[in-house]
Amino acid sequence: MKVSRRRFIKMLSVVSVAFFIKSKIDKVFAKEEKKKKRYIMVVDINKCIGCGSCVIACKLENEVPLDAEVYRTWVERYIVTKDHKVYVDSIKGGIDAYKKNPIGKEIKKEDVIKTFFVPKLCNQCENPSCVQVCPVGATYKTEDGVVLVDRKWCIGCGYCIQACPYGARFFHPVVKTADKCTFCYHRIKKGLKPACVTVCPTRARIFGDKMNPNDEVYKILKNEKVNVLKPETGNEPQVFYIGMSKEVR
Amino acid sequence: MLNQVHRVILVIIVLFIFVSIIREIVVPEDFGVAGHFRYSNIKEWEQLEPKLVGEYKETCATCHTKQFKEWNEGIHAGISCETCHALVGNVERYPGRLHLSNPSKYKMSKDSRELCLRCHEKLESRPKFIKQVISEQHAPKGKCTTCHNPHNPIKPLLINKYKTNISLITNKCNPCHVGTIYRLQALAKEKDSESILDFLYSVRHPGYSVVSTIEKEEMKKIIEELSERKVEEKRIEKKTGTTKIIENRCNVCHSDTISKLRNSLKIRGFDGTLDFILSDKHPGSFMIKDISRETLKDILNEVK
Repeated sequence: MKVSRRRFIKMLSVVSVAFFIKSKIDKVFAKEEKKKKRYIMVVDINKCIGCGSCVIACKLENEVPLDAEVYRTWVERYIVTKDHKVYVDSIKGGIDAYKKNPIGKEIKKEDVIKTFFVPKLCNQCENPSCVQVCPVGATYKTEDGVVLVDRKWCIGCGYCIQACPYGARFFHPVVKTADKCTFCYHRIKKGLKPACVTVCPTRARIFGDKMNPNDEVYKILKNEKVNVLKPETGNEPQVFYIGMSKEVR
Repeated sequence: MLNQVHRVILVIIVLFIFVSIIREIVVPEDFGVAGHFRYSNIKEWEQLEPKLVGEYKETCATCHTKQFKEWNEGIHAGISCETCHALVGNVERYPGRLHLSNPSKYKMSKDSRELCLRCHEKLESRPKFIKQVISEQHAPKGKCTTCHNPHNPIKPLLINKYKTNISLITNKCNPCHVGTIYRLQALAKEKDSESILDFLYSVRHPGYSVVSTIEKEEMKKIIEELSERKVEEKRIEKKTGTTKIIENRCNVCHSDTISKLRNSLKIRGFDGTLDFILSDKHPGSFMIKDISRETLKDILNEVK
């Protein structure tokens, strides 16, 4: 078959235009993929009053037994004294609110430099060590950055509970698998806030998508001085703390 | 020899087929679609039903209109309904969605001293921006709701006892003064209502601009009613002139005036302090301009 010069050039141009359009379409789709979400939480330590509402709300929402000494989120109390000792306690995770005051009894009031409450939860790490150690692939990170546990797949070996540097995982006494904070995945996917964020009376917890420039947390990360727990582990935790003192571990 | 090699290869092939068949049966189809996990588990988590409501304007406010309005105007606005009504209290704990489905069966909890004290008990670790009471001293056997309206706590419920519109005072004066009613009452015992009014509506009263939004006639009625009432003795503490001036003027801006003055006395000395508080460098100097230098000296001596 002979191809005339005219015909050859025609074919060439059609093919090149087709390739050009295809590359453009690819780019558009690639951009849409890049609009991923990354859910994070910001905790303002200055605002936490230790009322423990978040702890109860979390247990009710996620059906963790109220009496069991396991918590998806909990509140710790820090007391720093003049001789640089740090006292940390968490009476039942703070579920009954903090009432008794150790200051003035075990610790002298004059010795106290500062004292404050720190709410804690799963940090939904960027490089979660719990996911790496799971032998059966029962725990994983979703596309929007939330680390979840597959309750049907988990064999309850407890490696992940050991591996978590924040002690955020526990053995669920009813389901009999490993369990942890899910950022209330069923709520956030329906446009609601996580249970702890909903009930916090002082807005000490703020939840959002850090990839969205219009989101509150995006602005906070941009403007505020924030810190994370144990950055040296390399886990890249995604729960950020405002006003965190170096004593907090 | 060839036979042996063939046999080993055969065993390996059979083993391989056997293992891959078992793997095909045991491992779910969606395992490994987006990573080393079962992809459908994400959907399983997503499909759980939320229990706390979280949005109140569309749900709670449709029935509890009055409470919603009060709450929306008060200082507790923004605290979710469920923080108080779903988590603790004298009724079994029900997350909001159950109550929405069957309001008469699933009653939300309310009115509990334990509940208020979760946030308002005095604690060293608790940030100072929140009002705190020592529960053992603050009406130990009383119910919080006898005196306070939890939906709008700035408005005390006791105001119903008064004939005049006393909420004007509590709403407008309490931001600066502590226990406004009792202070006015004590003042009304000593001075006649005209001179109190003169002071309140003069520039000497730092809250002049706030008071001037209240009608003078109304104010007069309030003060007259207060002077007729029995004074609660324990509320009036005997105070020297010094503490009165400091409390009324300096405390408007400073939280711990006396210790601040003592610090200043140490650093600047007696005359230095006096000069400073009267100079333009002190933003509040206009508030003490009507007090003579001699009186200020007395005050500083007493503080010292």
